[in-house]
Amino acid sequence: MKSKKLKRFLALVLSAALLLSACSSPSGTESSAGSAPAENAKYRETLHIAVTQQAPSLDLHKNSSLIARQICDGTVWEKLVTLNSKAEAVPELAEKYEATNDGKTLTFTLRKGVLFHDGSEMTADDVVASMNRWIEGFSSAGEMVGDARFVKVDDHTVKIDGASSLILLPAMIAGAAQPASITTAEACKNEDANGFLKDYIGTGPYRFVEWKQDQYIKLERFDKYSAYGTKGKEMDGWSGYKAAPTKVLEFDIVADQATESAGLEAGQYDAAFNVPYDDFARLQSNPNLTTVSSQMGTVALIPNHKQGIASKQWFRTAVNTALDYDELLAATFGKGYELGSSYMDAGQPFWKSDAGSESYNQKDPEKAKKILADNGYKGETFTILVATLNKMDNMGIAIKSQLEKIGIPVKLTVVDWATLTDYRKDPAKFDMYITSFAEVPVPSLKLYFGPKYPGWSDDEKLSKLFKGMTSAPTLEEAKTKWDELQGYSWEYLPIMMPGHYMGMFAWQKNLTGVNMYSGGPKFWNAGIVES
Amino acid sequence: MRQILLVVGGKVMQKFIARRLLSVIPVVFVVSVVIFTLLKMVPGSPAAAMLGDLATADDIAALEAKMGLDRPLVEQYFIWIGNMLHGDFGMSVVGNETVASVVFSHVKPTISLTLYALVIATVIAIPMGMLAARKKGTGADHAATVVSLAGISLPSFLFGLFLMLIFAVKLRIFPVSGYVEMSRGLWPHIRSLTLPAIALGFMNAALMMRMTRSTLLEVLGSDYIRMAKAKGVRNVALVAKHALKNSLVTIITMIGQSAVQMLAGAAVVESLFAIPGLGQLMVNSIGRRDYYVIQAIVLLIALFNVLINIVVDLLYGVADPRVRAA
Repeated sequence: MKSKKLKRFLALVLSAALLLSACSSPSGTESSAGSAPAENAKYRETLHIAVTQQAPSLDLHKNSSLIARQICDGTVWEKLVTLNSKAEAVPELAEKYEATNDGKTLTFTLRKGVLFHDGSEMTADDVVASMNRWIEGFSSAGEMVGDARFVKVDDHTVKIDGASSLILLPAMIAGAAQPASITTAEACKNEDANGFLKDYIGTGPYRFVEWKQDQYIKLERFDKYSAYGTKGKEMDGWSGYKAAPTKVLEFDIVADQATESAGLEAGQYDAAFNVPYDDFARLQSNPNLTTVSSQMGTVALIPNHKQGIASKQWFRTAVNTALDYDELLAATFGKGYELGSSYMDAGQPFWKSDAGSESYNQKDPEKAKKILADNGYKGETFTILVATLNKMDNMGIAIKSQLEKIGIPVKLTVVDWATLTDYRKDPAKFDMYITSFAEVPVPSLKLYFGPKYPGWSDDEKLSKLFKGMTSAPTLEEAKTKWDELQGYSWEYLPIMMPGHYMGMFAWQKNLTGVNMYSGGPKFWNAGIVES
Repeated sequence: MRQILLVVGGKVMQKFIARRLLSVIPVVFVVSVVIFTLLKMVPGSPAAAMLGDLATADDIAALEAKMGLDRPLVEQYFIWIGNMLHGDFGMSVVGNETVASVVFSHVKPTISLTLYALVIATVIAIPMGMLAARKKGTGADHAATVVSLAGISLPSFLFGLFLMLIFAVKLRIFPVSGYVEMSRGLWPHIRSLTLPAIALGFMNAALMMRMTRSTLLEVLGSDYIRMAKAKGVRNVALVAKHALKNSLVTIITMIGQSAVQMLAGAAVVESLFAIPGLGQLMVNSIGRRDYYVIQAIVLLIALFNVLINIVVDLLYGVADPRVRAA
């Protein structure tokens, strides 16, 4: 009798184990601008897309939040120019644009008949208001153009005259972390008490409907969208025909990444942003899912050049020589990273450079010890500031472990992100801090080359090379200057760059047309065909 | 109902309620000073959170000036209090929304979740506590003890993940996450809260079960219970009718404490199941230094605390005639 009961119990346990085990067979990965929607197909009305972060505002001119532009850039708002698959700035709301030979004047001819979500037609007044608001809200744009501003030439033409070359401006407009979104002149004036837009009115294929804090952001297809490009043709990067086959895009805010993965597997979500590295392998083996990983940006160890031990060139060189970047990245991102000495990411092939690569990832502790000894290092404590955001504290622990092996005592200060942004203003509080930067379309958007950004790289040669790049009359000359600048950077070390972190995304296999060109998925041509 | 009216309707009790309500004022004042001071001592700025990492120090300073954060602290405090007395609780740093609107939209899910979790906890705890007390020393008592220890020891997020895996991912009976408002249907609303309510309620059920059991055992050892038993009152009636009544004061106290704890401390479960409640709002607001929202939530929780204690005190009178007489 007892053995019968035991057998029954074991059978139950086995059934439960089988119930809990996942089916396993390989699934594919892809990375592209996504296929064009099928003609005459009936698509599911709503896509549920899980996101783990929430932006403080959807005013893209004024905040650089990644999730805000992942949701809205190109979807709710469009720009004068956008990026194609080669990261070149190509017309979107502009019909064409031209630069003078010296690169100082840019003229944009606007497309006619483009409607905003409030039904009004886009004119030069709207573009001038939007672009100048963008310049005033985005300090990097302001530094590039100086006092120059966009002016109206006629109802469908605008231009900007700079004191120096503006040859890098189109790429910045096309792909900056604070997008140069075009909205109505009225919306530009209608700001809240803190100076943020109250109304989210764009020209994109989807209009803003509702935002319930901590719940969702809802966008609905704009039926009067003025599409460009060729219908039925696959997009080239972010450029091309946006058919918007799905009526409603609902971005559901799911704070916990494990819950997001579970919701995707249960079919509650059609797509998920930033799935955790730990879950990615399991999701990859799920035959019902498509998984994609893509470079999203670079990790940066930013030394304090103003005061303290890291302000000494030899000390920075010793640290860079000692560190094993592979180990640091693995400790933080698992398998979600790629090594590489190029400061720019894979999404910007034009700017890829191997200059200075001999100084990258040397992982030579003996050489580092010799540098320290030759320069009379006295064992001063090295204070590293790091936030718990995105497991960066793991990198701090790994750096501490590696540096202590070569005789550098390390004090690790682990704080939350808001505290780090406060502490890093004070050079007395750290010798180096750890952060990351999302990919940017042009190297002039790398803020750490200047003396104002915390880290305070104030070097004459660095400034000269940077200025040479930003004032180059052609892109090719700018690239040559960039190679020199990157090469020198691996010597001077405004930052130490361990490598590139990946973003992991996943969606249901029957969801087609997802654009994965850069910076995360876009759903302009995405949908699930109803069976 | 008659007893409740008797309790609340009496003049003495009305004076008692009025006195307790007035006591909210000094409580709220002290809490407001403490929370305001503590927040200002914490490094970080809402302006930096709003503008993002690419903002320069000048951009952040300019926005801080617009938000009035560069004024003296005492001035900021009185501006805040003055605005609150006029019904203006300030603006959240997220999405151009008023604090009142944000907090109100988040308090509804928390109240729903708390009530549902309390029902689950009570429905599990009281019968199990009664059974364990009645069958003290038997297998049933030991099983109840093991279950209660599991409930106390198992972190709510781990239990929640387990529930999610079985009932949402594999069996697909309940949604994995998300909240459905009651306006979209009672059943979808309840369904969206079931797994989080079980995760939240189970630990409280374990604690309540232990307390119910020990209080009942104490009462079951009384002389009048022995007398009732000697007179031939059956065991079930003995426990359910006679002993339980006398344990109600302790049980009511526990329910009240659990309610306060759930209202204020459900952040982990809310985050796990993406329930847009007060707990999650508090955690998110701390991360982005949304001062006005944090201050409003803390004051609201203090208010809940006082109100729940008033209700508990009133229920004592309903449960125990001796308290009414006193």
